[in-house]
Amino acid sequence: MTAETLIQKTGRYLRGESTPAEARQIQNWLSCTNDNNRQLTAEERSMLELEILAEVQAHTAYPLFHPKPEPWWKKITAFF
Amino acid sequence: MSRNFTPEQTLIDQLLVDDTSAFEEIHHRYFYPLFSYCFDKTGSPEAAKQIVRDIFISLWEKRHTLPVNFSLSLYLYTEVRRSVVKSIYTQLADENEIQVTATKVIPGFSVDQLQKARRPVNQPVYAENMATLRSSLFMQKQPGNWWNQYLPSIDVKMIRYAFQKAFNLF
Repeated sequence: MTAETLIQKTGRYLRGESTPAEARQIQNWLSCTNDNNRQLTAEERSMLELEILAEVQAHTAYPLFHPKPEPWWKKITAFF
Repeated sequence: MSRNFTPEQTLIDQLLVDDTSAFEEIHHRYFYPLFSYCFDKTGSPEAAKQIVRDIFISLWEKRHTLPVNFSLSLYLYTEVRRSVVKSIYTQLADENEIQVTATKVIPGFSVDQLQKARRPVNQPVYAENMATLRSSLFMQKQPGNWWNQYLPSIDVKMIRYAFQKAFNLF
């Protein structure tokens, strides 16, 4: 398969115009998963999570419109 | 590992009332499997990150219009597959990335690779051990002290699994 053919196939799939055989081929490709040995460490994973979450927060600005309530220990600290 | 054990349906219900903690918990539970899958398919960490980000942005934006029997897993499954195809299409349309993407993606479309999707999912190792144990205990009863041969290979995990399976304790 050439790159041009793949562009046409994926384009037709996204537009919902692909033939049943093409759709099956792409769905089979999506269902094939390799044994993923590239596991991230806990720190890398945590950093990745924070990074993606920060991007989501920057895009939706939900902490601004829906701020979290202050935890009980912060209220007590502020009281003193 | 999850930070709490709140059921998924409860998190979705909390999401409807703009609970940001529920949204962050959903993100915490699902971001890595999604990222890992996207990275495996696109071969680009940036593209994978972008796909995961867009899926969660879309979930947050659509939180008030979620259907009654909304399945989060099904939603994420559908979205990630559609987004991966879209990402591949975008990468192939870019003249600078076409060769790199083509060399990564096209081999996956060979018949040998695609046939993997039709094979049954690999069983866990101790399920195979269970099959061996079952066959050894019930199918090949041998005279004498045959258990000495098999007992050392039995571990606690396997016994626990057998009990859970027998009494439907999953």
